[in-house]
Parts: sequence; C-alpha cells; structure tokens
Amino acid sequence: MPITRREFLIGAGAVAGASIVGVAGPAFGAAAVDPASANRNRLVIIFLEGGNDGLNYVVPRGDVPGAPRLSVYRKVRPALAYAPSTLLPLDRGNDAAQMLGFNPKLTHLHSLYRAGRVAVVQGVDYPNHNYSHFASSDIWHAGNPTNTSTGWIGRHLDRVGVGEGELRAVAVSSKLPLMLQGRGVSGASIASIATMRFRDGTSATSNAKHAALAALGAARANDPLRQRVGATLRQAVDVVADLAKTDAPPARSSAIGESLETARTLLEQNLGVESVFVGYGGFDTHTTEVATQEQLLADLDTALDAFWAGLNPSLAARTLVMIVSEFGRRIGQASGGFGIAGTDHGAAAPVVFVGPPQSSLVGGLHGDHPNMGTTAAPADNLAMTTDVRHVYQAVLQSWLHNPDPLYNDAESGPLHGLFDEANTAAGGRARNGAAARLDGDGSASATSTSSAVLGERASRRRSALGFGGSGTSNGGGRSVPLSSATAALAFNAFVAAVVVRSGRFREALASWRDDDAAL
Amino acid sequence: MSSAQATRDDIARLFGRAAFGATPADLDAWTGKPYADAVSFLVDIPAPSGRRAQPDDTRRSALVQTGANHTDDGTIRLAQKWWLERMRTGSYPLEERMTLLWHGHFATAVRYPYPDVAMMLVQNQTFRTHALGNFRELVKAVTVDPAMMEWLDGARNSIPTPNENYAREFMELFTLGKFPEVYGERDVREAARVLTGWTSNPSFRTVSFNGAGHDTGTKTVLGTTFGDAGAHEYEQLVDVALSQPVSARFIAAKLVSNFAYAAMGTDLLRSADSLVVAVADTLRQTNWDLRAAMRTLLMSDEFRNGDASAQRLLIRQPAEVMVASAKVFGISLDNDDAVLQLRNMGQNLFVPPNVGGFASGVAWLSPSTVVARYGWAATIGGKNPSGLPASADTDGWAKRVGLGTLTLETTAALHEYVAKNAKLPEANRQTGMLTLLLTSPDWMAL
Repeated sequence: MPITRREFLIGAGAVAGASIVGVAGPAFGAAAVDPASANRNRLVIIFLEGGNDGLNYVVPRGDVPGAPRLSVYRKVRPALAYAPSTLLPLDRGNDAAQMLGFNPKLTHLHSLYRAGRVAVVQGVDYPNHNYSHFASSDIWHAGNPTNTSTGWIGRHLDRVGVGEGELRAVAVSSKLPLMLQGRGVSGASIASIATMRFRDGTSATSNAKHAALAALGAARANDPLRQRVGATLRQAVDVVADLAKTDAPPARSSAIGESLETARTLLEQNLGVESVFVGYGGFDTHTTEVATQEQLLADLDTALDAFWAGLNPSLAARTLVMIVSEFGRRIGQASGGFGIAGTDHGAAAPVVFVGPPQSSLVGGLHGDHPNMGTTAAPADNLAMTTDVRHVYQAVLQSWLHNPDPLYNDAESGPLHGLFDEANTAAGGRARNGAAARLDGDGSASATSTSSAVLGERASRRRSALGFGGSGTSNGGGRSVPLSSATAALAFNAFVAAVVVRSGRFREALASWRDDDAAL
Repeated sequence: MSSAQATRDDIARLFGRAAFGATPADLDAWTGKPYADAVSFLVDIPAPSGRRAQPDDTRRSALVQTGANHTDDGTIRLAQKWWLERMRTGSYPLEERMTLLWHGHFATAVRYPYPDVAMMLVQNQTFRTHALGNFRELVKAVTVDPAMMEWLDGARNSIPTPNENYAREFMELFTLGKFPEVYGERDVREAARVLTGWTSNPSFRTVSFNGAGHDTGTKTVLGTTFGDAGAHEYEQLVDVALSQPVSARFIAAKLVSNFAYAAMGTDLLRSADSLVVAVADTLRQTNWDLRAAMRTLLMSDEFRNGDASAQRLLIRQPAEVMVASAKVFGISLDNDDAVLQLRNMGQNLFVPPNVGGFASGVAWLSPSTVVARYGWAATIGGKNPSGLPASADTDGWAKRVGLGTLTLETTAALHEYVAKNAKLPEANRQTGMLTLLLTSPDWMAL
C-alpha cells in the first residue's frame, strides 16, 4: 500500500519533535487538484530576455500625418531598416492607417493577426525608465517601478491562493523567476519534463529514499535558509510524483520550441496550472542585430504555431499568450555597417498578445505609437505611451479574473479596450466590486466581500490542518494579525506547509525575494 | 570573540565555503589547531609567478589551441571538464574558488563566432592570476581582455556610433553597482567614448589600440574630465571608477555574499553591515588587495559565527556542491556525465546565462535543481565509494562528507530513514544515507 505523503510527513514530524507544528500538502503522488481549476483561464508569458528591438518587431512602413516614422526610421537606421515592401502589414480596419508591419519572419503571427487573434499594445514602459537589463527586467517582472521584491504573478498567487496540490504558476526554467515570487506564495520552476525523474528510478528502495527526502524537507532546522531548502525538497518530490505519468514532449528544433512544448504539456496535465513563464534569451543585439533577431523571431513564430496547433482545443479556447521584454532598443543604430550594426538599450516597446480564436481579447493595435521625432530632429528613444501596470492590470482583471487590481496607484486602472469588457464581465469580473487591493509590497488590505471569502477559505484550510485559533506573529517589529488575507498567504502550498512559528520566520519569508539575487 | 582554536564546525564552514569543501583529512588536520593558521593555509599561497607548474597546466595550454575558433558544445565540454578537475584537485582551492567568483562577476560566455573556447580559457587564466591579487589590476586586465572585448562589443565601439555595452556593465556590474545617484546615462555614454579605439583580432586572441579610432574629444565621466590619454585612457577610467566611495563597498558586498552570508532582508550595499564595512576598509587601505580582503573576511567573527539573529548560511552553487562531493569520495569529474549533470543543476561553466552571471542564493532552489542535485548524489552512491560509515552513524556520515555538526532535525530524519529500512541490506542503506545527506538542507545550505 503506498504511503501517503501526509502519513510520512506526520511520521517525520513526530521524529523531529517540537519544530513541526503543522504540515500541509497534497496526497503524495496523487494530487487532488480542485476541479474548478480546469475552468480557469490560462496565461503563458514569454519574456524576450536581453531587450527585444521593438522597432524591428513592429516596424514603420510609412509616414502618417504628423509622424514621419518611416522617414526617421530610414534615416537613423541605414544598416538596420527593413524595406516597407518586405514587412507583413498590420492592416485590419483602423490599424491600416498606422502604416506598421510585423517583422518579415513573423508569418504565423501575422496570419493570427489577420484572424483577429493578435493584440499589439504600443509603447509600453514604466515611468523613469532604467536602461539596465537587470533593473528594468526586475521592474517588468515586478510590475512595479519602485518595489521589486515580488512579482506581479506572485502577488496574484498571494491574492487568489494556491489550492492543495496545485502548481498554479510554473516557470519553464531551472530557476524561479521574480515574476512568480509572491510574498507568501511562490510558483515553481521546472526546466523540462524529461529531467523531472529521480535518477535512481522508482524501485521500492529508491522510493523509500524519495520519501525520506521529503521527510528531510519536512524536518525543519532552525534556520530560514535551510527551511527554504526543505520546502523545495518537498516540492520536488511532489512535482516528480505529479509528472510521473507524463510523457516528455517530442523534441523541437529550437530553445523556444522546447520551452513552449513543455509549457503546453504542463498546461494539459491536471496540475492546476494557470500561468506559465517562459524565458527566451538572446535579444541583447548590440551588434549583428538583423541576423540575430530574425533567427530568434523565426524560431518564436514557428514555436507559437506549434504551440497552438498542439494545444488541446478546449484548453486552447481559454489560453492567452503574452510576449514582453525588459525594454526596446534605441531608435538609432550603434556600431557598424550593414550586417554588423546593432542597437543599444532603449525604452518603450510593443507588448504582443495572442488569444484563442474566440475570446475577449480585442485584436489589433492598442495605445499610441511613441513619437519618433522628425528627420531633422530624430528622437533618441521611444517614450512610454502605455504604462505596463495598466497592461498587467487588464490581464489580471479581465483574463485571470483576479478580484482585486494589484496596484496601489489608484489612478492607474486597467488598459481599457484590450479585452472586450462586456464579454469578460460574464466571466467573473462582476465580482470585482469596489475592489480591495494588494499593495505593491504585497501586504493585504482586502476589505470587501472577496476578503471575506478568502478569510473563510483560509480558516477552512487552517482547521483542516489542525491549526489552532488565529494567532498573531511579530515580523520585524510589525504586528501582523494572522487572519483573513494574511492567513491565506501563510497557509498556501509552498510556504504554508511550513511552520509559522516565530517572528523571525515571517521576517525570513519576506526577505527571501530581494536578498542575494541582486549580488 | 571566537576561540583561537578551530572547531570542526569552523573548518567545515571555512573549507566548505572557501575551498570547495572539507575532506575528512582536512577536518582532522585543522580541528584544534589555530583558526588563523587554517585561514593562512588558504590565503597565503605563493604568487602565480613564483610557482611550479601545476600538473594540468599542459592540458590547459593544449586546450587553448584546440579551442581556437571553436564554439561547439564538444569543445566547451573539454574546457568544463578541465576546470572541474582543476577545482577538485588543485593545490590552491581558494584561488580556484575566487576564479569561479570572477567568472560570475565578469560574466562572459562562449558565443559564435567569438568569444571562442580558447579566449574563454585565456580569460579564465587571467581571473586565476588575479584571483587573490589586486582588484584594480584585474579590472584593467578584463577591460582589454579578448573574450570580454568580443562579448561586450568593446571591439565594435567606434567614434561615430559608440557601443555602450561594456561601458554600462563596467559601471553597473563590475565596479559600482546599481547606484543611480552615482552615475547616469551620460556617464555611460561618455565612458563608451573613452573606450573607443580598442580593436580585436579574434583569430589571434589579441587586442590592440588604434589611435585613429580613438575619440580624442573631451569626455566627462563621474565628474572627471578625460582628454586624450590614448591607450592609457581606459586605465584612468578604471581608476576613476574605483575611486568612487561606493566601489569598495560594492566589491566587499560581493565577497561577503559569496563567502559569508547573503543579505536576508537588508541591502548589504546600503546598510552598514559590519563585515561589508570591514572588508571595504581593507580594500581601500590596501589599494584593492584581494588577499587582504579575504583574510579580513574569513577571520571575522561574522564569518565564523553569523550574527546574533542567525547562523546566516549560504546556498552552495552547483559547481561547489559537485566538486565538494567528488573531492570527498575521490570521484573524477573528467567525463561528460558530470558536465551534463552540472547543467541540469543549472550551471553551465563558460556559458553563464547573461552578463549578470549565474544565479545565486535561493534562485538555485527549484524542483528541477533539487532533482538534479539528488541525481548527482545518486550517481556518487552508485559508484560504491569506499570507507562508508555504518548507516546509523550519522555523525560519522557528516564527517565523511566534510560537514560539521548536523542539525537535530536532519539527524532525526536520517535515523528515521535507517529505522524504516531496517530490512534492507546495510550496503543499500549506506547508499541511501549518502544520497540523502548529499541532498539534505545541511549540505545545500552551509
């Protein structure tokens, strides 16, 4: 008879003694994912790492009244400019007047655009742009220009919770990206399906070791970092069990092809996967930009086509792909002539969405194209016309049906028109009401009906786990009532399994995100 | 104050962090001896110029020839195997640990067509030469290093259209850190102008200064005006950067976060962390002597004892874990399997993910890397290493793998494993103990 995870953890707890107050987690090897999770919308975020050149991605193919974009483009990029005739025109309805086109390598994306499934948000950035890869990337991951301690999807997890056994957010990576790190809950990361097998197989002897590995993870030493290691050990054992019967997807010819196949496979399992993060590197084209970017975009285009073609149709109907990058590049070219030229770090750039055949995503161009100046006085950089926070907020609200907008900037609100609001309201946005919200640092200020629901869910979970009444724990001198939203944070899968025993532990939780990754 | 005599825990931590792990012999040799002597053993090594050749130097020289104009994975693996074996067997483990640190700090990657594997090995030797030398000299060498010139486009930085790639990372990642109040976009652009004129001849792995390609106009970087110092202007740029007060703090924080503790909830750079301050002071007082800085760090109470609130541990990076385990069990790393397993753990030497270098700290923790680390432990277990303690002898096991005292929790979990598997043959249980210990929190966070 297979031992359940809970049984052996309780066993381990008894051995380890007083340090174990309570543990939670799905039944070992048989994740019982909330059936409701099957009906959630899904989001795949592709991050073009290094700074994708937005101007050779969505490219000017003509001047428009008051904006001589093509003339400026040709003048400042003599060795990089595409001829208008080679571009794939964005010519649906009102878009045509903007005289823009996709990079010639994006043929599949262009077909999807013509089918109304692609939305292009122009000029996306954040205030006070930072030209550093790392700083800017953190801001895009965080969705917050001033506090990059948590990611915008991580805070979504904090707010909506992660059910037992769910892998609600997962990165196709060997490391956990900031975007999926919340204050109390974080996503997981899985480099590939094929590598999520224990090397010593599944014999009884090996399985006993794997059970012991999870027990080691449950046996929490009095050190926050070792507790974190332990939590990851348990998570690893869980994920291996979850994926034991999942075949690795067929090999693909490109890195992004492999990653999107892995993403598709994870979405199709009964793991409760809602968001998948896919990093795709190589876009830092200071030199040899045209050849480099064309190869990267061609691979992306092929991979996207394969992703949609392979995705289970009922799942495809509720999946949205979002493609972002930490910045665009400078308008003018740097270093060298034809074939060699590239561009330095820039600012605003387009964000591209690809939705299902019929969905609330509104295809076509959104927002305004940034000003490129004139041929006499070309702009140096593309300035923001749409704040990325509005874009994220629209996704959270209208696609992921997060009941609370995430941002503490009450003025911001979602980008209007990206989703068909009438359509999405039916899908749950009506629940939103006068939204309570999570502040940028993730601290809860929920007060509405939704928080009552959350509190109820948390207390249900708490009692199911045998926890005592709602306690209070001191974190860094700040008194944090362990109730409602805060409780929900603490009781979720990754961390919730862990003991909320002392103020120091809570402090450690809060500090995990922004500590050493910066150095 | 810490005791003058080293405990086993002291040696396990010192060697674990600064020497790719302690062996049982290291623990025996240094426990009870003056702690300062153990630090001196690691730090006070002969200068590279005054040394006999290492037995594997010939192989490295041959690889520089093999690696010329090669960026294919087979050639990369040859270089990786050489370096892993050097880490495992080298006579100067702290120097090798620092070489790994500089590889992550000045992160450069093999890329078609250049930097090729030969350039990377030459750069690797530059890191080694200066590993415990002078940081100022190291930065100057890196600025005109052939691999770096190709990687961050110093070779394509010319007058009409300067390429900012190196200039930006020089400030943000190499010398100053993320300090918007110290330098801005204008400094980056002007620094790129200072560096014009340097060109690369990649097939010969040489760089040269071409005065005609140098921007002789007036440039202002970090408040200092640069005129026309030609081929020496880059050295002035390094000096100006390293004269900024934040610079020593930035490098000190780098050393502290690699060897002592990561900033748990505080910013090591901006807080007045006592160890960062002490190491930065040493760097300034010694004109950037890395050996002195490392002595300050390793001798500090903060390194030995953490602080009042916690032991302040570090997550070991995959290469350290792999080398430490191979060292204690005498397992060769000169094979593709080791290299590929290291990649599964997330670390591909000579091919860091980007100029920011490898991940660090908790970013190494994920289900994927745990499965990979477990896989490596199982690989070692499968090689039937000798001298294994009885399965129930947990402290014997800790010593066998070079650890200090195990935590009570890990000890209890290991005993539980032994008890639950009483019917297994003892040899199987020993393999199990080995695999579990080499994946345990005590092993991963040291």
